[in-house]
Amino acid sequence: MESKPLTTRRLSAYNLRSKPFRTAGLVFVVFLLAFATFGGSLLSQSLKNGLGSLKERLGADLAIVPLNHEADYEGILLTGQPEKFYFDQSIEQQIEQVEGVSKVSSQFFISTLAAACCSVPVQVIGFDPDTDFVIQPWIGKVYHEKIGDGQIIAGSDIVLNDTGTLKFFNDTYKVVAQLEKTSTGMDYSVYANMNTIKMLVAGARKAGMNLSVDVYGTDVDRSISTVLVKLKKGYDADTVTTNIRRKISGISIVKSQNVFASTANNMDVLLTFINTITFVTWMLALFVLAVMFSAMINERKKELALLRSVGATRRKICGIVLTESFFISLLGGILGTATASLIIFPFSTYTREKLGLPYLLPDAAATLRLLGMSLLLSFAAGPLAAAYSAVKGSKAEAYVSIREGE
Amino acid sequence: MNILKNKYIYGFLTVVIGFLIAAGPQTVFQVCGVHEHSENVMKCFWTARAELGVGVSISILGLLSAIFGNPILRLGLTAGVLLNGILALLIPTVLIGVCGSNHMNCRALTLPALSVLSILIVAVSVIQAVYLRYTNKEGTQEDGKQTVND
Repeated sequence: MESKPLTTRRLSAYNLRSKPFRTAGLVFVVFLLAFATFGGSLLSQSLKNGLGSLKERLGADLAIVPLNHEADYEGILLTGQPEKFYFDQSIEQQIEQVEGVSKVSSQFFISTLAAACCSVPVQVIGFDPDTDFVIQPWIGKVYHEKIGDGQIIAGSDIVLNDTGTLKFFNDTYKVVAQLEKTSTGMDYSVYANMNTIKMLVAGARKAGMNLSVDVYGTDVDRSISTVLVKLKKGYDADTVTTNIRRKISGISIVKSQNVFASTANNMDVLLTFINTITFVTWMLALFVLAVMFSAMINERKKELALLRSVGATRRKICGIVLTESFFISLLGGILGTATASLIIFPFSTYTREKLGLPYLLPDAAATLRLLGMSLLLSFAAGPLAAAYSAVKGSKAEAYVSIREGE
Repeated sequence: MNILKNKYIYGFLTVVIGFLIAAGPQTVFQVCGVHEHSENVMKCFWTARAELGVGVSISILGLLSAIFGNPILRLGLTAGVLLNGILALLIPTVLIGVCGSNHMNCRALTLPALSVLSILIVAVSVIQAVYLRYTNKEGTQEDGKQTVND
């Protein structure tokens, strides 16, 4: 049999292999540490990205909706939950006259169905390209022409068929562009001009789905779902809200800053929780590792003393223990980050649905940065926790250690 | 001893993952199935049905590879698990698919769960196949019937 030199690395590997249960236990502790660090940092970064995206997405300062439909509108904005509510379009002209209002633009909402007639059940948002100041800046990032009749723009999470079309109420519509991911309800919505909306409603009525799409007797030519308002410079949302309420009754007003503030508050609680859990797990793992290494060195006193007696230097002994701890960290770190990746990335849509908060995964560069940082922390954890025990073990007197207990 | 351990670990992993592929789409990460209003049967319903068959097949192959000791036979069973694993991945992604909206459970939960499980079983089977080839190299006789691992 070929003999191999007993290097520090080989000796450490043999030591770890000779005690598989102990090694597995130590690897598991580092696994937890790496999982919590990478998973926690990815989760909190995704929430921060989502909040930033929501801020950009809000666009309008105020949204006027029919009475008691504030929550429905916020649902459309945050999660894309299909909703429909209508009021008379004359409200748009009335709001335009209110003091402090700079721009207004109306939108019309209609929901498609989870049935054979439709490719996907989504919220279709009709807007007026001539007045819109909220959706078109986003569309402009991916499509530079004016959106035509019968054409639609799909949110990033809408799954298109091979021909780049979507079928709604048995009619096929061409998807001219797909928006970038925003982590808001925009990702689950479809956008069209008002003529296309009329085609959709006519299609729904022709297919006998009038009740299902819930436009009831609504006259599409005279109805709208919301009026988005941009304020003039120098006016605040509260003043203009009061001005609008004085002039128009039977409406509800959603303030963008309130939507953002309440989301930010909810997110703050969650972020504090995630960061605390990550920090506590990290500290706990480091403490457990330090205790386990200390116990291990105590148990292996005689073994290390024998190595000293056959000529191993203190540096070599120290090196063996630190290399063992590094191998453990390496394996635990890789397994922990890989498992976190297998959970966070494929299940991101599900996580977002369950959280009900804007959630946008970081881009590749940011993800790699977080991965590098998590791996570095995990790889350092083992040697850091073992350092004291390694020095202590290497300093023990060989003769005393061997004779101990006799 | 190592061979014995490997046999049981691989067998156990395969049986568990196969069971999850078979039963998961009906229980833990359930598909949408039949639409509540229109009673239309959706694509994901058929995906769950197909996965039931593939998952059971993976579990049975895993059980057999934990029972039999002959490495050549176990290599064949591992190849079977590997091919079934690829099939389990292709059913929800290419062959049948799931529903169109990301909002729906089958796309948000069932699809990623099945993808992760299928990739795991494929990865574990590739490692097992390499391990069996490696440990079997020196001991295999020409006819492949008797090996040192038997």
